[in-house]
Amino acid sequence: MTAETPALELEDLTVAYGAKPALWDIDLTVPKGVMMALIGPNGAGKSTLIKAVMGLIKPAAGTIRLLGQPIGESPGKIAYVPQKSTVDWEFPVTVKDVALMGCFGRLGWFQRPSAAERKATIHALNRVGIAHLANRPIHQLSGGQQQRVFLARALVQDAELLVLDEPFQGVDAGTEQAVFELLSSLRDAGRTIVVVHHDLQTVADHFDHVALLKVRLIASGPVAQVMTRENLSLAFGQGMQIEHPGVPATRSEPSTAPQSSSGSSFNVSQNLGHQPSQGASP
Amino acid sequence: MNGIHPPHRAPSRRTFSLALTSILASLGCRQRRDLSSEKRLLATTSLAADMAREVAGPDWQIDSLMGPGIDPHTYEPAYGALRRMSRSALVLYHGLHLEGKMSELLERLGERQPGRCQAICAEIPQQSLRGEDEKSHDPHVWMDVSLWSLCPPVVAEALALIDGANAAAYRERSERLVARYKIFDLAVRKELARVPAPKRVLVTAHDAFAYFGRAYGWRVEGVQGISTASEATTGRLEQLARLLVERKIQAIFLESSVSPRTLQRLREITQRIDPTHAIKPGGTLYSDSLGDPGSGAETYEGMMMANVKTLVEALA
Amino acid sequence: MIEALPESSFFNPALVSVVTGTALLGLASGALGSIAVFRRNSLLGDALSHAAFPGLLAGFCLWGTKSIPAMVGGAALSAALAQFLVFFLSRGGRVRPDAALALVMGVFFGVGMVIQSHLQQDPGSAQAGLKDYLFGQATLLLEEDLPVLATLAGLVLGALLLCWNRWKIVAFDPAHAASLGINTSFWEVFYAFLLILSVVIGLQVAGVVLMSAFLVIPGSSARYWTKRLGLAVFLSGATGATLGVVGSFTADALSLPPGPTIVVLGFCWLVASFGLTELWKHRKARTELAGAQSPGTQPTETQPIGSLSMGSQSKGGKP
Repeated sequence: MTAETPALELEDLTVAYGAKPALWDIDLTVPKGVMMALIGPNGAGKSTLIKAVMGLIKPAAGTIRLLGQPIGESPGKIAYVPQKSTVDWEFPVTVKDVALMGCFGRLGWFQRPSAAERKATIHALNRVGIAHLANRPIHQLSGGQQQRVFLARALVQDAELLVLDEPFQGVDAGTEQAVFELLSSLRDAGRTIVVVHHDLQTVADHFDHVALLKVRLIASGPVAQVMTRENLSLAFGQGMQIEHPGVPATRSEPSTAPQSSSGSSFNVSQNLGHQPSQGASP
Repeated sequence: MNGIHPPHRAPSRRTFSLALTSILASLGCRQRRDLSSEKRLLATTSLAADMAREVAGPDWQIDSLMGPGIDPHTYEPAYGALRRMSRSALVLYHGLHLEGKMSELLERLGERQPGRCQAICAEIPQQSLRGEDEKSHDPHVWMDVSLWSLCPPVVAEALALIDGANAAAYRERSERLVARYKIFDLAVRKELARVPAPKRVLVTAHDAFAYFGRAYGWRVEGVQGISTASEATTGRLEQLARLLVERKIQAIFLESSVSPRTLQRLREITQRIDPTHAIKPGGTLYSDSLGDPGSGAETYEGMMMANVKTLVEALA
Repeated sequence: MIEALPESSFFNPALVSVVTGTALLGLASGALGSIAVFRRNSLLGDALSHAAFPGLLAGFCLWGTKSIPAMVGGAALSAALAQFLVFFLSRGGRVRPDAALALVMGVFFGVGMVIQSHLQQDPGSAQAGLKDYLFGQATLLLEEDLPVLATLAGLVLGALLLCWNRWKIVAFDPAHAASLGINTSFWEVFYAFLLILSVVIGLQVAGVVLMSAFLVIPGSSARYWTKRLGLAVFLSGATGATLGVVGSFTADALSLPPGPTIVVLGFCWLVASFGLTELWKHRKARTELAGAQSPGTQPTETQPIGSLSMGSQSKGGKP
């Protein structure tokens, strides 16, 4: 790879709530075109980091650069898929409406979404598999479907950097697999993905890079490098074990060894073989 | 405000006025002995003050609580008013609930200190009054000169009670005033006769002129009916507008205490019914008080005649 | 009043201004207020109309005779101040937004009542006119007031239509909008501005007490009929306008004040909307149940498109 501008660069980043530091002196580089997991115990500052990157909170010190530019300058370039959105699910909008909103950042005050944007929205809905729900009001959606609406919205936004906050929390295995496939394909297309992830077991399977956070940045880099017993102990305490430390995620195939292929049918009860264990911190 | 008002105050005002009564009563008691030599009289409205001046004569100092332009229906006495009351030998008020809640205060004071307060309309017979029951009489009796003439004797007797030495003088002045009013009544009728019968329609925002209409044969219509609390309905507005057009009435009248909007609206609707029919404001009528000093309407007769002239000029 | 007054004709000319005025107000406030309803912020309109009251009286106090611009200006200023206070109070997080609204609304209205009782001492009392602003006096709507109402309606509808994408996203998910670089504060302030304008101009028709009904009822009823925001806002405006027209005619026929009549009819429509749509849903469920005997695909089977499609049965309910 040529020395490209990293997708995200945090330098000396410190964020505090009052006197209490949530993030301390973070130096993190996320190269372009990787899928990175952000992991750490409770209170590690993962959400805070995301918020700082999104510009929702002001850091006490340090800089954040997106593709070389300070984050304020190009707001639409980061797409954020929230964990549980604070959105009012009773609001009268359809799935298609919400997904379409991803392009609104590109619209001026007086503009309507073009036909091309609408087409892209349907395409995005297809990619996440809820195209059949396009005209459904959002209050009729299940949890997994809600997640996918926001994912579709982020796709429509077509951002350089995609940030997802614990997208697999409480989601069934089939959905999880399918989402990973989607994210991988985005990564292959050159986008950068950062996922706040809770399950240590699956980090190696899906991610290229990982950042281990506990107020300070313990380590970041390729998975095999970072996921050592030593680092994990520093972050989570002694005795933290994972099944396949150091097994890198492959880039081309959507699935690797222990998992069965997801195929194209998607019966919810299908047994995929690989069960994500709950060994990691909640 | 004009029209009949049912009392509608909050209970807290009741306790407030009760407290005031006691303060007033206690104040009154202390100074009782001195007052009769001081000959100070306090009237609530300018109308009552005018009558008091006529009957009491030059020896008495007459003050009125409410200046011209203040609405007696909703007047609330401030502490200064109470002090003035306590310094007066006699307090004159209309009664018939013109002064709203304050009249209850005055009644109670009158009970405690007999002769201290007097309602000047006390002798007007029940059947002459308009209104459904005790509590909701139309108090605008001064609009009918013959009714207003029943009040001077009451004032004379109240004065006689306090200043027995000059009782005969008060009674004589009262009789002379009544005689004068009788003649004045004829003058009013003569002047009003200049308006042709079909045009004797007085349209104004509220119904303060009901006694006037009854006494002098005029049709009086208030847009908002007898109560200011009610809203004007579109139906009534239309009916009044049609009345104006039918009778070819070209003037409607403002009252000093009422929003000109109501009449503006009436004009608008009349325009719609008949664009050629022009309505102009006929002028402002005095409803609840006398005029300012120098206006010519600062006495009762001046005020009534001013109203009459306004009507005649507009409609004759 | 022994003689009868002339008969009222079929079309009362007094109605021209009342019908048009209430229709225009209903249109503007219905459409605008519906957005607050959908955001679960219905109390805002009520709070603003109550908060406008002291400013209205202050305008009258300072400028004497019923100078409409002074009163409207005063009303707008005090409503804006209230809005700012609410924002400031709930910002810190100590006071919840709805508590802040109720608090500010109560205090402002109380101040208004104090000013009103003070005014009663004043000579030249014109409280009959001021009381109109508490409960509205739609019948006294002058034809010369209509252009103002029309301008308001035009402004509100224009703003809504032209900048529709912004309203939609800020109303639904302001956090997301902010992340896209949209200045949500501007749009919130703009909305409050339009709302205050509607409230202040609508005060003489609906009055402080009933204004919130004009803002909230159309949106609440439209919610039953559609699930799409655009259609819901349009329907709200149409409902507001229709209620104005029908209410005014009804009030004329029954000799009632128009403002409260419109509100009562609006409420009836709300209940009817709920009832009718419930009925329709039951009917639909029953016919679906009856017709679901056919074998093969279930109605919500997903069609795979590409290797990444996924799907599951849609279920009602939330996570």
